[in-house]
Amino acid sequence: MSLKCYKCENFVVDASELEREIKGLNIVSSAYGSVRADTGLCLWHETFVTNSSSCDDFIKKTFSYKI
Amino acid sequence: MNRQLLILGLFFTALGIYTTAYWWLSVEELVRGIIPISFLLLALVTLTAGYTDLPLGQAYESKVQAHKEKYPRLSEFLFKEDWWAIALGLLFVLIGITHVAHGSDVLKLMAVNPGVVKWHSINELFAHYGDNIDAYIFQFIIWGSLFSIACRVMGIAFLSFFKSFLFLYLGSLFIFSISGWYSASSFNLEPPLVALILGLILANLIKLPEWVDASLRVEFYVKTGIVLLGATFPITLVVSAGAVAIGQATFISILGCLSIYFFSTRLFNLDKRLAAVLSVGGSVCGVSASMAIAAAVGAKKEHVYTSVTLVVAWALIMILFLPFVSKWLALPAGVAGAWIGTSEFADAAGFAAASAYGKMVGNEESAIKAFTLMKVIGRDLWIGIWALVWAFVATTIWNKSDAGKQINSNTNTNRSEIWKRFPKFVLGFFVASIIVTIVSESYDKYQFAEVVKPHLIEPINSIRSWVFIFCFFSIGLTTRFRDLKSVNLQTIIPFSMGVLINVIAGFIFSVYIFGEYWARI
Repeated sequence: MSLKCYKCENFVVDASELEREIKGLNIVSSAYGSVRADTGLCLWHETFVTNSSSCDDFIKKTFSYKI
Repeated sequence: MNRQLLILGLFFTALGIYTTAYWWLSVEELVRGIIPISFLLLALVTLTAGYTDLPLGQAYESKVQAHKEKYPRLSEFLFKEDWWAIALGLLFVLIGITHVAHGSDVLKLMAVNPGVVKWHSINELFAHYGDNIDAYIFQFIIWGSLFSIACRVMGIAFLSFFKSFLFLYLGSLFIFSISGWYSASSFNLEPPLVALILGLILANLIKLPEWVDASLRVEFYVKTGIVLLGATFPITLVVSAGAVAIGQATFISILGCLSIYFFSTRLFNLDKRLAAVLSVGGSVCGVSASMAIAAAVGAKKEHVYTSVTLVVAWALIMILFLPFVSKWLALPAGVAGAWIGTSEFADAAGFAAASAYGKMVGNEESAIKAFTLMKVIGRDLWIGIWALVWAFVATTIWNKSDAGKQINSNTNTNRSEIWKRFPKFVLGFFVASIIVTIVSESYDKYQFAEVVKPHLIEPINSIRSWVFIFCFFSIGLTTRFRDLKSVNLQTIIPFSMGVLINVIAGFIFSVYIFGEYWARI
């Protein structure tokens, strides 16, 4: 339980990726706003968590190359 | 040796010397103009090159993560659009103040707008474009560059944004051109409504290419517009009207939030986490509020997705419904603005409705000011408080009863959560308001009307109209009904009941209880 969500493969915190996951989020809102702070989406549990959350299903993140 | 090219070279040298001598004053002006621009470009290039930690180029996400770990506070400024909106808004305000002091034309070039032409024949419109083509090119380059740079740092590819922004800018020119027709208001062709409907048609009836999406940043534009709005909003008005706005907004937020939560859980047996997400979405600040509390309550992806559909549907209904009902009831602009501010839950959609009604009755300023006081100052400030309240409920009441919980959500239930979730762009609104109020105080009444109003307030108003039209057009273009999640009646009914309670309570407050007050705004 010591490894935090922000280092997990299943944690989506990147704003553009989050907007791709939840279609329509950018219509009258945004994943780039301050109010979201460090909230991200856990793809494993399909649940919103903060980057300091943790669980037993942790998988170490391997960053994908893009842009 | 190529004799022909040498002769051509000599010819151009002679031509260059002759035209330089003939147009010497223009050359001097050009050189003077290029020097500061070159310094600014050099500054940008050297700052970007010098700050090597800036996560640009390949492996963006890993670089962002590394940056966040190394500079957590600086990252908040670089990767959140609120701070960029503040920077861009205040940049224009400061240029405007310099403009007043030194009489430069930069702000007026940025303020050019075909919506004010009131053309009778298409030739008049073309003549306007012919006379101002340099201003429009300048305006596009400045808007495109500033927004592209900001979005590039936030992770959106520069060229993709710039190309997409050209589409958005040309569309906005077209929308303003329509509203600049002398009979446009007789047909209710107000720019916000035209932008929204044109965007909806393009997004849903025509398959637009994917590259168009890059610049459709609804919230970024509306936040920049709100900071600019601060410059035309005396801080004395904020102070004097703030108490009524916050009082009305507080009552509405609590009433709306508890109503939706109660109807959802008690009457329709919805999941309490979904009910919480919907309750703040329908009472505080739409999907932004839903996202703000999502982690605190451990909401599922489908919960926020449901909130998106319901918020977007109601936001659109109210943009099209509230201005016309207000007109039918002949409400004063300030009263309608306050009513829209208590009814609409998304800032961008609310500004579209308030601006449309203001233009219908020829008093956009009052409608927008009342809306801003009610929505931005009154309701948006609740986001952090609701996040804290729901985090407290989730950790102290719900989690105790949740058997087999898989995630240690590490929910923050202390006061820092209020600042963490605070909509920071509101600070830009206050700073702009304070700066311009102080500057205006140094001029007497006559100077204010002759100097400050035409050289600062009016150009900033026009620039704000541009940012808002980018926002309204983007709402239409991003609303693709096929992408929205279908929701069942069990969810629609409690949410809609709460929204209707807000609309009715907002009407009673804005028209009957504080009606005289809002009418004077």
